[in-house]
Amino acid sequence: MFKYFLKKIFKSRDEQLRLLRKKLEKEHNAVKILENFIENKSRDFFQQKEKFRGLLEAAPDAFVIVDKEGKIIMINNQVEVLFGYAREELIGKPVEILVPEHLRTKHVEHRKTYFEQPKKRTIGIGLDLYGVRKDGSRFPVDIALSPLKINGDFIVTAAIRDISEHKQTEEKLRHAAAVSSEAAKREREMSELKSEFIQMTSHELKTPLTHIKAGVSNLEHLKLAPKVRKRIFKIIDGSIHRLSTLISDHLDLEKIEKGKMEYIIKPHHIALMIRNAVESFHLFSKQRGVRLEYKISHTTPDVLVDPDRFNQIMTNLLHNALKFTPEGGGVTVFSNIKGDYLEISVKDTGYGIPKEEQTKVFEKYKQVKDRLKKGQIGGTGLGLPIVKALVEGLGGKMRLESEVNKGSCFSFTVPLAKKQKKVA
Amino acid sequence: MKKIKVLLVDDEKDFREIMRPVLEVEGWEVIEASCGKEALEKVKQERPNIIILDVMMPTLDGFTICKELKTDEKYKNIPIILLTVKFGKADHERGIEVGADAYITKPFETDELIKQIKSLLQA
Ligand SMILES: Nc1ncnc2c1ncn2[C@@H]1O[C@H](COP(=O)(O)OP(=O)(O)O)[C@@H](O)[C@H]1O
Ligand SMILES: [Mg+2]
Repeated sequence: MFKYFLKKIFKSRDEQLRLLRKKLEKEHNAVKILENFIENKSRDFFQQKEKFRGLLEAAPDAFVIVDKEGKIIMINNQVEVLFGYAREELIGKPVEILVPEHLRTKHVEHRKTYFEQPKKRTIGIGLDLYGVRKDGSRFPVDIALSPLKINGDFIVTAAIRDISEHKQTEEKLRHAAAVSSEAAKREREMSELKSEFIQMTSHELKTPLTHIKAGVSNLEHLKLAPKVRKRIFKIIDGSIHRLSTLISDHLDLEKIEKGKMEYIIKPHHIALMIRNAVESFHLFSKQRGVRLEYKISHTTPDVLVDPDRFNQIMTNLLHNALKFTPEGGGVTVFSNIKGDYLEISVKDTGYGIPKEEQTKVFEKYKQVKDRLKKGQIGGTGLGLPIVKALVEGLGGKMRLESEVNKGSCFSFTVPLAKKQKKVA
Repeated sequence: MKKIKVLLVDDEKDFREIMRPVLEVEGWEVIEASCGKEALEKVKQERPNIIILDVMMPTLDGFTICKELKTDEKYKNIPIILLTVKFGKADHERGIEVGADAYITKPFETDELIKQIKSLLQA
C-alpha cells in the first residue's frame, strides 16, 4: 500500500503536490501517535513491539530506530524499499551502513554528540545529505531525528525521506530560473538595441533638421556673401533630401518587413532597365570622378520583376558603389545567366568591406566603421537592408564579395521569364 | 584686442559650414575640428577661448574629449558647450559629470547658442 506511494511516479505536478500533502499529513499523524505512545509510558517497549511496528509501518517515510551504540534495532518496510536491504541484513548493524562511505566516520561522531544532548530536529535542510543503497547507489535525503527515552536509555528514531524528486524539481526550478534570466538578458539586449535604433534614428533625423533650422536662420538674419548664401542653400537642400530619403527608406523597410510591399511582376527587358538606372547616375559619377559603365547585351533574356522595385535595388547599389569608391576608380554593371535566374552584379574598385562586416552591412543602421573618417557622404544605413529584402521579395538572392582596398561586388539574382534549356 | 577663438568640433562638415557665419558675425575667430583627435590637437595649438563640442562622433565621442580636457590642469578652464541630439536625463547627467559648462540639444535656436557662449565668456 505505502510501497505503492513511494514507487509511484507522479504524473502531474498537481497530483504530486496533492499526494505530498497527504503524505505529510499521514506522517504527522504517525509522529503524533508515536509521541502519544511514548507518553503513555509503555512499561515495556518490546512488549509493545507489534503495536509499535504497526505504527511504524503506517508511516510513509522510512523509519530507522537506532540504539545508543548506533546499532539498528528496528526498521519499517519503507527502509527495505528505499535502501534495497532485507530487514535481517540491517538489524544489529551500525546505522552507518546506510550512510555514504566517505561520511561514515563523521556520522559516528555526530551520532555520539547527538546522544549526549538528544533533541528532536531535522538534519539535512540546506545540507546535501545522501543515503546509500545496498547496490552502492546514492540518493538525496532529508532526515528528521527524534529521541525516545526507554527504560532510562535513549534510542533515536530517524525518519528518512527520499527527496530525489524534490531535487529534480529544484533542479528544474533552477534551470527555469536560468532560462528566465537568459530571457531577461535577451530582453534587456533587445531594449538596448531598440533604444540604439531610436538614438540612431533620432540622430539621423535631427542632424539634417539642425542644419535646416540653423541654415534658414542664417539666411534670414545674417548678411552673407553671395557665395556663402549659395552654399547654405545647397546644404539646406541636401539636408531636406537626406531627411526625405530617411523617411521614405523607413517607410519602405517597414512595408517590406510587414509583408505589405506590393510587387507587380511582369517580364521586362533587362538591358533597358539597367541602362536607365545607370544613366540616372551619370552626373553623380562625374562629380565623384568615378567611371561608370555597364556591360549588358541587348540579347539578354527578359526577367520577371517589378520595374519600380528593380530600379530601387539598382539605385541603392549604384549609389553605394559610387559613394564608396575614391576618385579615379570605376563601377561596372554586368550580368550572368545562372540556371533559371539572371545574376546582376554591381562591381566597384572602392574601399571594400572587411570580412567581419560583410553580413552586418545588410542589417539595419549598420555602417562600416571609420568610413565617416574618410569624409564620406553620410547615409541612413537602411539602403542594403532594403535591397536585400526587395531582392528576396522578387524571388532572388543577394551575394557580396569584397576585399578591403580592392573593391566590392554586390550581386543579386532575378528569375528569368522563360526557363532556360538545360545544358547537359 | 585679441580676437576670441571659438573651436567648433563636429563630424558633420555641413554643420560646421552653417555655424561658421553665425559665429563670425559676432567678431569671433572660428577654428574647426572634424573629430576628437583633431579637436585635442587644435586645443593645444590654438588655445581657444571656448569649445563647442558635438557629442555623437565616431571614434572619440564628445563626453570623452570633454572629460579629458576638464581633467587637464592646462585646459580645464576653457568653457565647453556640449551639443547633442540625445535627450533624456542620463545624457544630461553624463554631461555634468564630465564637467561640461553647458549642454544644448540639437536642433537649437542659433540665438540660444550665442547667448550661452557670451555668458560663459563673461564668467
Ligand atoms: N560598394 C560598397 N563599398 C564599400 N562599402 C559599402 C558599399 N556598399 C555599402 N557599403 C558599406 O555598407 C554600409 C551600409 O550600406 P547602406 O545600407 O546602403 O547604408 P548607407 O549607404 O546609408 O550607409 C555603408 O555605410 C558602407 O559602410
Ligand atoms: Mg546606401
